[in-house]
Amino acid sequence: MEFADITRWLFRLTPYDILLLLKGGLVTLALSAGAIGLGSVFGAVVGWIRSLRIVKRVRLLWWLTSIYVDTVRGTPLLLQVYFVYYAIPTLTGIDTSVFTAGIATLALFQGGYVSEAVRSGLEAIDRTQWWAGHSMGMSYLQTLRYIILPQAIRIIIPPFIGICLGIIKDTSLVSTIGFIELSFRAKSIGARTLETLPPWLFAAGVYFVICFPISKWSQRIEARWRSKG
Amino acid sequence: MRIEFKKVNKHYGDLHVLWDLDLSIESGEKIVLIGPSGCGKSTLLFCINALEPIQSGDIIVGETSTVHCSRKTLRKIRQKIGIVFQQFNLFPHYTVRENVELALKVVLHLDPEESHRRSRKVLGEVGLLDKIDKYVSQLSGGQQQRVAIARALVMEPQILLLDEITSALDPELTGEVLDVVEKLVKEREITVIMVTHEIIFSRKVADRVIFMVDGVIVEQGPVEQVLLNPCENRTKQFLCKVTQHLT
Repeated sequence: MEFADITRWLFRLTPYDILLLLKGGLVTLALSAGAIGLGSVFGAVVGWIRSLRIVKRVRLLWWLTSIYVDTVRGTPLLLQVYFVYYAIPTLTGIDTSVFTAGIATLALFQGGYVSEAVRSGLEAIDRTQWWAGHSMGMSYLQTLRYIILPQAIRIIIPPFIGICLGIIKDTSLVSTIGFIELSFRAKSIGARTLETLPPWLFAAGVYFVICFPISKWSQRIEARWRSKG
Repeated sequence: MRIEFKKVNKHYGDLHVLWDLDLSIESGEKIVLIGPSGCGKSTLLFCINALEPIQSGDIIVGETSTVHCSRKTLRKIRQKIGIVFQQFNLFPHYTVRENVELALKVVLHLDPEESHRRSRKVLGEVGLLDKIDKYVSQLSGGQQQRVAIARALVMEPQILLLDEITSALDPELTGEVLDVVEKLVKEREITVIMVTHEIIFSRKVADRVIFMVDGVIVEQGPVEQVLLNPCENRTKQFLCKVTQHLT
């Protein structure tokens, strides 16, 4: 096969199928944004709680949050999706729609990873920085806001971006419970036309177009912070 | 502002750092605290503004106990106590000016113009006006420590605590920092407590020298007495050790 033939074959997608895939891409984008938004806020709160010295001393909250963090990080996301969608309704009687199960699982997954990034980032700032703030008469929140967070954020951002890029691609796993997003569209078009590769390659391109700018942007701000000393 | 320690005990876990410590320091007094490493000098300093909690006893600053007061009162007291740390503890994400002006803005809520006027004044006093817009990492150790001194003084404290401020510096940078401290301490009517190993410098600024070993004050008194004619054997031994390299 000539190169031209290959490209023609790859793009043997009807305009209608392309439209479906692009719509799937938008759903993936919205789903990712929702999961990242909800999960990051939740994870930041959990991570902040786990960074408190009182929590480490009293232990109860530490253990409770550890159950969450370690479960999320220690089991496959696919199984978590199944668990929330199939097991929770059976166990509790609460019916979960595909939409809520999908977004909730992804947000919880994101939260588990973000919490550890936030905790380790906050703990990386030396105790003496807290002292410097307190000794000038600043309150806990003022010290956190003006001294600790601006430094911690630079440590947290690189792993945080990595986690976000991961969750964008992992949204594809909720297609297994029937969530109609990009991967679901690619799979169904492939099944209908019996040409699996073209829709999947197109979908891969859409994932890349979403992820690549984020990755580039994070490299840019890291470089800017480095030059600021 | 006067400071009074009443039967203060401080532990780190099983380690008993300060033992039933009684000490009173008069307003405007310049105190030098000496003693072997790990004897509790720095801890004593950090207990004054309650950066380190104590287990029993009381510490009175001015008229108020820093042990039994509300958080709000403690913050008020801390505004009047400047502290300079061994490792500078500057804020690396801010410029020199932002380091010095942060507390003026956040704690005292001064307007930017007044903050700026005050920061230029103290940075002038420590000789760093030309570095005002530099980041901390662009300065030498001695310059960083002078910024830390400016940051403490810009709040116009009534008490200044100096914790081994030259221990992290090269010998040649030590001089520039000590010169600044000597000048600033002498021209201000504030209470100063400094932990140091610089015996010669102590003689120039101190009204009273306190020698501590293992969390207990062994000897205290005027410079001539403690540094030149110590009564206690342990003081003599210590002074011998730290001045050995000078002779």
